[in-house]
Amino acid sequence: MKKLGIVAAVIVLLLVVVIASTMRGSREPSAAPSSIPPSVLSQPGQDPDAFSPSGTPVPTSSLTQTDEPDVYAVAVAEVVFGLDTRDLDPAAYRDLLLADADPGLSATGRADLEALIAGRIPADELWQRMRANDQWSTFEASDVWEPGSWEQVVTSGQAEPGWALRNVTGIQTTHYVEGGVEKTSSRERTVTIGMRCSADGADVDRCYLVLIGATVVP
Amino acid sequence: MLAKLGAAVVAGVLALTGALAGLAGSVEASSACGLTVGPVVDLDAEQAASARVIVAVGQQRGVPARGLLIALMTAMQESGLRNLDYGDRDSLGLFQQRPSMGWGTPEQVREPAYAAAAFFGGPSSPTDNAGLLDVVGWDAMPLTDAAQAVQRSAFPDAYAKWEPVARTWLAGILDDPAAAAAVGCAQASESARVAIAAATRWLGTPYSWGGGSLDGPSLGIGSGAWVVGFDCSGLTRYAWAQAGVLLPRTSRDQWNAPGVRITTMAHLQPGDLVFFASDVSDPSTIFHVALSLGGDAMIEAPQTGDVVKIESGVSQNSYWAPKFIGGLRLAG
Repeated sequence: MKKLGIVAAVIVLLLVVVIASTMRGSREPSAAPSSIPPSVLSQPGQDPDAFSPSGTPVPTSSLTQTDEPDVYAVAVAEVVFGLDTRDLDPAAYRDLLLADADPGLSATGRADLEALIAGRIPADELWQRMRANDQWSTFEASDVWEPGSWEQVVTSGQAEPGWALRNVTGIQTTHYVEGGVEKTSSRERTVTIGMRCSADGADVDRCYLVLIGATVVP
Repeated sequence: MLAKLGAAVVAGVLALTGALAGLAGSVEASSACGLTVGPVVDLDAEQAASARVIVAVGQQRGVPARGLLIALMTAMQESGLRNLDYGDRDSLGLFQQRPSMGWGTPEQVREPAYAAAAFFGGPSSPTDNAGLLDVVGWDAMPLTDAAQAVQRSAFPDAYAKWEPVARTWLAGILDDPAAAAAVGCAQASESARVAIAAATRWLGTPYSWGGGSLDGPSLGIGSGAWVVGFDCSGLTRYAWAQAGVLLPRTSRDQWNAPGVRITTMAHLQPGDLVFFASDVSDPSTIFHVALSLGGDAMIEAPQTGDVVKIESGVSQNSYWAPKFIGGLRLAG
């Protein structure tokens, strides 16, 4: 049975390598520095009351523009775990995250990211039930770290300049109203965030979103 | 190339998620019975795996088909048959059960087998909350009323719309090798059907090193201490004991039990023991035994941290296939 454990470890490593391969492969080779479109939601001076394509207001706190992987990963995690159903809808959250997608993602890479984001956001019907309870959540990050298996990817040359992977853990507190009484529920949450940040050889000037893991990469 | 890599990362991440959730895989593979372990019509892999766990847990508890149907309808409405880690208020998991309402810890209600067991309720329920089997007259109620009696949803009419498709899913799930062998696969002996039915009853039960008695799961030893479950040979020994065949306790000793040796995986029939060794030329290196469901599928207690589950596509599995040392058809 120990051998099964070793195999499991190898599978995890292979998974990370696949992630690395995809991060590399998902870039458009022709993406030039000047072709990078700005993030719609995180540009300085943008009207905070801007509306998403779905017609609903987007969150007023846009993703942090930063070149620090730790800071960026926490910012993404705060959006992922900080849903507010009272005024927004699922499309608004999807748009917020996708607006910060790595501009070098290919159509396939973007589709993958869209699928991963879709798995993180409640479906419309459930969202409406949550909204009926005035449900909203906050996320307080307590730790951010680079997954151990990612280092092996980097040292083996699988990662290109700028690619970064971080795990973020913290406490999600969900607020809701039940029977006229305000209640809260808290639990620990962890998520793996993949990104491309500026580095020698990387054609971006800050961190952009590549991956929101469906599971936590060890 | 990019498309393949893109699909690979999503599939890889989702596959690992499924593994962590203890879900059975759903891959295409033909069994010796000519039946298929595969996708459930109109459900994706995650949904199909969830549905299979629900059905298996229900069967373990003797829940009739009507109850299995109610559970599938309920889980589809509540979560889309996905093991959600969010929900309405503090609801989580397949059945959107609420820890604050006594359904279990957040971790427990996100364990599909636990969640299903809690929904079904009855004498072996893991919670004190009333499940389906605890509702008086549940089997005579309209399906949606029975679901609502457990879930107490604010939208009690929402379950009904899933009845037609849920019937299709249930029919597809019951038409798999485990169920087929248990209820009468032509190539399985009566004893094999009994053994497979016995093993299938415990799908979702934790692996426990040294665990498993002739009566069912038991406390293990060593790494299995404090865990009630089965190890690999404990499961096969228990299963065949129900058919009146007493096997030795360890996988290496079971290899030497009386029977007919099967040398190729394609010739395995439901009920055959399947052995794996680190050196396929040396039976003394056997480290694992499982119960064949015919051909490419087997039911097993794999390793610490895992649960009793069905493994499909064994001959295509890069880990298991090279370690297949042979099978044993017991006289029973």
